[in-house]
Amino acid sequence: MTAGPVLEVRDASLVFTQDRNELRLIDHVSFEVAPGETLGLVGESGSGKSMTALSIMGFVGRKRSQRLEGSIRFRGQELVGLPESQYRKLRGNDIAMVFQEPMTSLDPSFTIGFQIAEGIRLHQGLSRKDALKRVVEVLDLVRIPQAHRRVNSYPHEFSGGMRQRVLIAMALANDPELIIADEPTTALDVSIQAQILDLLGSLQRDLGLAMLFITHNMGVVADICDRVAVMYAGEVVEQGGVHEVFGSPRMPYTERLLASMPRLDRRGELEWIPGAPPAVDDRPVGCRFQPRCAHAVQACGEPQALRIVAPDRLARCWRSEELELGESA
Amino acid sequence: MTTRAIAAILPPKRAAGRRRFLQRFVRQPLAMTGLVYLVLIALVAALAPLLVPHDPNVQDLRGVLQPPSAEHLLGTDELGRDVLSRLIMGSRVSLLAAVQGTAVAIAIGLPLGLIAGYVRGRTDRVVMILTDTIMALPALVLAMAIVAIWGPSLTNAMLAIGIITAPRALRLVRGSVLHIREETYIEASRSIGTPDWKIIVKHVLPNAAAPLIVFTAVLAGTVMLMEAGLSFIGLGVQPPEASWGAMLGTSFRYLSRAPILAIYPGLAIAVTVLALNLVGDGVRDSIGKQVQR
Amino acid sequence: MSEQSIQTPTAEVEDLLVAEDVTVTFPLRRGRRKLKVNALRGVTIGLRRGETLGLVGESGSGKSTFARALLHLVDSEGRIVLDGVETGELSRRQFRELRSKVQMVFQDPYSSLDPSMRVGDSIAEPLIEHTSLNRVDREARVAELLGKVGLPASAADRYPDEFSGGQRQRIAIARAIAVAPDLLVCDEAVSALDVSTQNQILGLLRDLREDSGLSYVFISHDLAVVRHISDRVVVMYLGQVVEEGPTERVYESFAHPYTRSLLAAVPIPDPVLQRGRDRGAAPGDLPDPTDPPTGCAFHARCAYAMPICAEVDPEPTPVDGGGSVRCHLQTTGPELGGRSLLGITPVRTLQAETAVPPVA
Repeated sequence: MTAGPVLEVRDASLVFTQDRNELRLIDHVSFEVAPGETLGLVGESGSGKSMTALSIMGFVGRKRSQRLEGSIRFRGQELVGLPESQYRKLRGNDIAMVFQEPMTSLDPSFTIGFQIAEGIRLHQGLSRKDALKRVVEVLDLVRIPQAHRRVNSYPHEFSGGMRQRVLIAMALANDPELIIADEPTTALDVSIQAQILDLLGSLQRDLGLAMLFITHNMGVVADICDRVAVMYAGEVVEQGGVHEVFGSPRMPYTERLLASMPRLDRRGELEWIPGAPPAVDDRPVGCRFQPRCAHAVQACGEPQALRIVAPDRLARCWRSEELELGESA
Repeated sequence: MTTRAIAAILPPKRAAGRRRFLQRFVRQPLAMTGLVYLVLIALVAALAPLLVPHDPNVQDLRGVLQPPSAEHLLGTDELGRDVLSRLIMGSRVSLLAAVQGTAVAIAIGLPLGLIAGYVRGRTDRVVMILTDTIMALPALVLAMAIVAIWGPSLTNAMLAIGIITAPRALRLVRGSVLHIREETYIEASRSIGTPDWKIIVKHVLPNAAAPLIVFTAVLAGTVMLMEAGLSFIGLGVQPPEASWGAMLGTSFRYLSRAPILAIYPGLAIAVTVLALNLVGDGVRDSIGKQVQR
Repeated sequence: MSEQSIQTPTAEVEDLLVAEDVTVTFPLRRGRRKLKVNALRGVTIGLRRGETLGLVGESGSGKSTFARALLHLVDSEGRIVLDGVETGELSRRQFRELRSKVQMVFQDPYSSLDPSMRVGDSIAEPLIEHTSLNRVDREARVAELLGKVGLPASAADRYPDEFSGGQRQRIAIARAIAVAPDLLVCDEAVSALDVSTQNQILGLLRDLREDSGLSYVFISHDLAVVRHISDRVVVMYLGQVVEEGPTERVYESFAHPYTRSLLAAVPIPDPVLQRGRDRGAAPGDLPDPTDPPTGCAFHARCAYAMPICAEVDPEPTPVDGGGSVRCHLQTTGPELGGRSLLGITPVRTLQAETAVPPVA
């Protein structure tokens, strides 16, 4: 395993041209995922977290009307501008993705064995027999009972939770170094979600995977992520270790987001952040959270940079150090 | 997947509704061309008696099959009648016939499609059996059979064509309804206590209308062609009345002597049907994006 | 709001809703086989006036089906008494007048409003069906309702697609309260919204309750939200009520193994706390509603299962602190007799810690 980050995103922007306007769906986003670690990418809908995942995988940003700027390096290799033929060698192979909708991500006309083997044979060039062996191996890994028999089952014969395991198996089939999971448990029942998180956690430990985990659920982040990057209005506004960010947030949005989460172990009044995130074409010039921030002052009208406020702590707020945010850890 | 994800983030386009639709429509050159043509031809049909240079039924047996001249801009036909005048008068018949036939098709297909699609169950099954039966029979043959029984006249021909093309409209409407009835706002209406018939009229119909409007334009073209076909073989318009189809039919007998007689009505039919299709496409493209959200 | 509200004297309690032994089955065609889905199996639930009842459960629990049975959107067997009126046996047409007493707010804000109708017309629909107000009065009432849900009166002339998800839910709520119902059923009404918006809508619902004495049946899969807003909670599994009672009692001293596993599975947004908990989620999958297990529906996944659990479906028994539970542990084996599950070691896994940390 190479030293250095598995994934390095630097100033990545997804620029969408609509009616002669340029809209930055993600704006100078930077973060890293180290080998063997899980980075949580959190934000509400419209924050740009899914766009980030799609950009990394090369599903967007490859047309003139959708430009990807900046740098996205996987194991040192630059992905921005990478020709599609090269991208195809990486996808499903070194970088694997797990999506949100297990019900529709599988082709109903083929057995799951066939679908998983497809990717294996494509990237590893194994014979049909060897590929099948690997399929059973990987289905065992995701704890599907009677894997050797279930290779011949069709997707509709599996429940939602089982299908998500199948998709994870598919992602693991070619020994990826990085898994990008985009809301993989959001559509699942809570008890199934717990099983899947359990599975992902132990797989990651056993296989030494790096994982980029995208979600809006802070409880899930608290459970499974080592580090977390918080996105708002297309930008990363805070980043750091999960204990540090939850325990002492350095950016008012993070603090407000955490404070408004309904918690199973609490009751009492629910809080919310007044207003709404700015629309893509209607962002303020300075700090994008300023209109809703209780700590906003004049200087917040200047563009804010994501800066280091402590070792391995980034925050996009010039008042990070002086504000005492959140509950003490 | 990515287009949907992107659409979710992009700002919604402003000014929803009718005005946007018109704005979009007028920006499509082909659709506008079609529309302009249709408006013109409708005017011609409306003002036909004022526009004809000659009486279209007056025969001149000494001047049959004349080439174009100053007197007869498009020449004369096999009975010496002015082709241009017949063409102009024929537009009335052809357009009216198209409207009649389409109206009959919609009048049958729309209510039945709405009911069958919403109520489902046995009603739906019965309607679909009837529909499938009619569709299984070759259209023109069926039309011929109906007209032969009722007697050849333009009205009967249009009724027959209307009945025959109704299944297409019905299926289209029913398909829309099947989708719409699963929407939450229908369930919400039921929970409010709105009676079923009101739900159909108030909620299902407006939302099913868009594809139907597009379809109507195209249907009118099909109906026109069918009318032309029936008149061609003598089961539609009766002589001496002119319709483009009838003119086309009679011209075939003189193809060797005056082939140009076939081109005028043929071109008129083709261009009009094309215009209807272009307008239909234009409507579809102008509505489509709105619904896509 | 979350403390026990009025303690009503037992004999004089006016029950707004009494549902007894409600059963709903659907036919289902799978390939060539004709199956029956037992969506609800003998559900008994009561609601007092002014109460918020939280209805929780996962897929196949039947909670949405119960909502639809209450509103007569599906046919059901069993007794449903709404504000003193027996409604279970009524036909849809007979039920029509009673619809002004119970209304529903649906989950998807993007499809619960007719996109071809102006917002004002959507909100006015119940007024047209249940009142004899003329157009002018209706418009006035619509403006009033929009104000109640925090939207400007000018919204009435616009179309739904000009509004955000949260705003659309407000419109849906305005429509639902238009005829001043006694009971509002919220079927995952905030699940599709962001947290901030969700909390705003919940605040709105609370304000409306204080304003006009509404009662709620709040259906959700989000146990954290339910704890914050419900007076009583009903936990459902595979079409049955497995446990119910006052919210705090159920969350703090649960009596059913499924409740325990459900609570254990919900992640808490606090890394220290969350990683210290046992994530004792029940293994296996939710069962197939066309083929319910014999005996107790949960026995195959239960960490405390005894032999009797596979044979006999347990009856509800009372629990200390309020409510009831359907579990053989109360009457056989450890014979809890109304006590909570805490303190018993599960047979299958070795966890002695509580599933939910104490309230902060």
